[in-house]
Amino acid sequence: MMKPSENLKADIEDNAFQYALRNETFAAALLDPDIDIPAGVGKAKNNQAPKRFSVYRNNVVVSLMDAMASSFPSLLTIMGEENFKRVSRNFILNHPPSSPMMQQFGRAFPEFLLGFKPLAKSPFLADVAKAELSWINAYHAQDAAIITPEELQSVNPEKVMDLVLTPHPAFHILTSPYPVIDLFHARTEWPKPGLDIGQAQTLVITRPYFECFANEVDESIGCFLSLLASGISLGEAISKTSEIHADFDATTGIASMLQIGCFKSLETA
Amino acid sequence: MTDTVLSANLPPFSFDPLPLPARAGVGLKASHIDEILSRKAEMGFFEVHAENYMGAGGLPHAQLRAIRENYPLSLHGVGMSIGSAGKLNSSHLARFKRLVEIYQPAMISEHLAWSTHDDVFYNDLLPVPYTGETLAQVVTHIDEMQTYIGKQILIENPSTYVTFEESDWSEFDFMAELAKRSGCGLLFDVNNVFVSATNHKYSPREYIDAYPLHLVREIHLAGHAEEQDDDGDPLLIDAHDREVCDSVWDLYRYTIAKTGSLPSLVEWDNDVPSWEVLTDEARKANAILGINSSVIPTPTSSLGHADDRHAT
Repeated sequence: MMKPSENLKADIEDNAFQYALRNETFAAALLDPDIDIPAGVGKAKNNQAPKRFSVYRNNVVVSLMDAMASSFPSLLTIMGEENFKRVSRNFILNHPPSSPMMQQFGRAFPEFLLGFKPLAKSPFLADVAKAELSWINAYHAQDAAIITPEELQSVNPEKVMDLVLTPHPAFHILTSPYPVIDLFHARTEWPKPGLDIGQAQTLVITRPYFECFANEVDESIGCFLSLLASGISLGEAISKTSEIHADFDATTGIASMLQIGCFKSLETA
Repeated sequence: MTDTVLSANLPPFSFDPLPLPARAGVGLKASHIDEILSRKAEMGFFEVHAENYMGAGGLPHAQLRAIRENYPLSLHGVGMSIGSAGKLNSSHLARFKRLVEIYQPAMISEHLAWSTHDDVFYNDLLPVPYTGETLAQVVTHIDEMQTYIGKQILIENPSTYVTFEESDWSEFDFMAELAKRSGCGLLFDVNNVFVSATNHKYSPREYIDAYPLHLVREIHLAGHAEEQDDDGDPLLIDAHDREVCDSVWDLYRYTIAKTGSLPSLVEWDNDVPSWEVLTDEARKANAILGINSSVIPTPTSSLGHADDRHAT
């Protein structure tokens, strides 16, 4: 491979200042149609033919809006296409992505929705956005084996309560005062008959192999899983959960935890 | 929320080298993968966008591994922002290098374009003025990327919709000089030639005649949209959303007559068609390369699947 010549190095030391200015004015006009198309950019000398620069403006905004629509299909369904477009456009102009990894785009969307005045009466939308982001993260999470019932049974019974489990990389839990699971499923089933927007739900997203799952757990099991995931021992998680939820049944809690695949295999943890 | 960044923990794969053959390949789309793998579909090679495989694990990597085990692979970056005035993103370089190490692609390519400025990623291939200053900057970036990943990369000629008054290089001379100075190869996008030539009113054949074709290692073909600018002149948009048009096939034929057979990719990224429609496009490219893909025997497993479908 050829290295840049000495002449070239001299060129660079002369720096890319003019070009940086060009990038700056070009970039500024991309996201703001009120900013003039930069001078010297267009069809020919003295003819900017603004439709030409608009191709770039359109590509940027439409491709980012498409990315939002593909990351948040449940929100798109719930809000309706026109509303979603309006909101996502507003989000894009205020929070453009910083990384070329589009799967990471939209992390600020839940917070943006909470602060977006026209949606002040729909605070549940932010939880749907959180659920959809968790789903994407689970989809791309690192591969890891989950702990199996056999593995847990093989632990010395005297030591099993001292076990500290490691959350599986795809594990996400979301305790919501809203029916976040029914709303998350809007991507495949909407409208949901009998939806009660005041119903609290706890969503646990897992990906035991390659397929993601949106599991519903009751509040006590959600509490147990959150405590376990925080790094305390199995015994402590059981006793703390029982203090908070008198109806908590440890056997059911452990069975749920194993069945939906929340924690990593002891061998790899 | 944990970061989903390509991890160092993917198992060390061991692949046969599988160079790109001088025949048609297609861009890999998630919606086709099951069909490709289950039918052991006949295809010269696949190309993927690097940025789609920069997550830590999961289905995308499992699928790409299966594809790489069975087909030659070309890795095409769309987000390095080689043509940026600012520095390259070091995290992105590291992720890119890791992908190259894992999948050992036969070809690695990027664009003569920028997409990041001042920490904002614009998700589009934005145009570069052709000046001595930008040439030096682009060459520095290509050299940085090649040195960092330890491989030669190919740089693709762009589709453009505007020109810059400060440009004092022709695009073909700019491409030739950046390759000469950086040691990179070139990816020749025939549709981009047609789009830019139409938009800026020059002859695509004269462009091809003047292009440093001896440095071209791969060809791209794609469909474009037709619009009009403010003066009613044609304004073609590189949309990758339809069949390759006849004029582009003609230019492809013209190019291949000069270069000889080269790996030739059909890109179709939006309004993705059925696998059959995409393979028809690949067949057209193969026909121009003198390869009759219909006489290549279909793997028996594919016939088995087809029969199953009829039976049910």
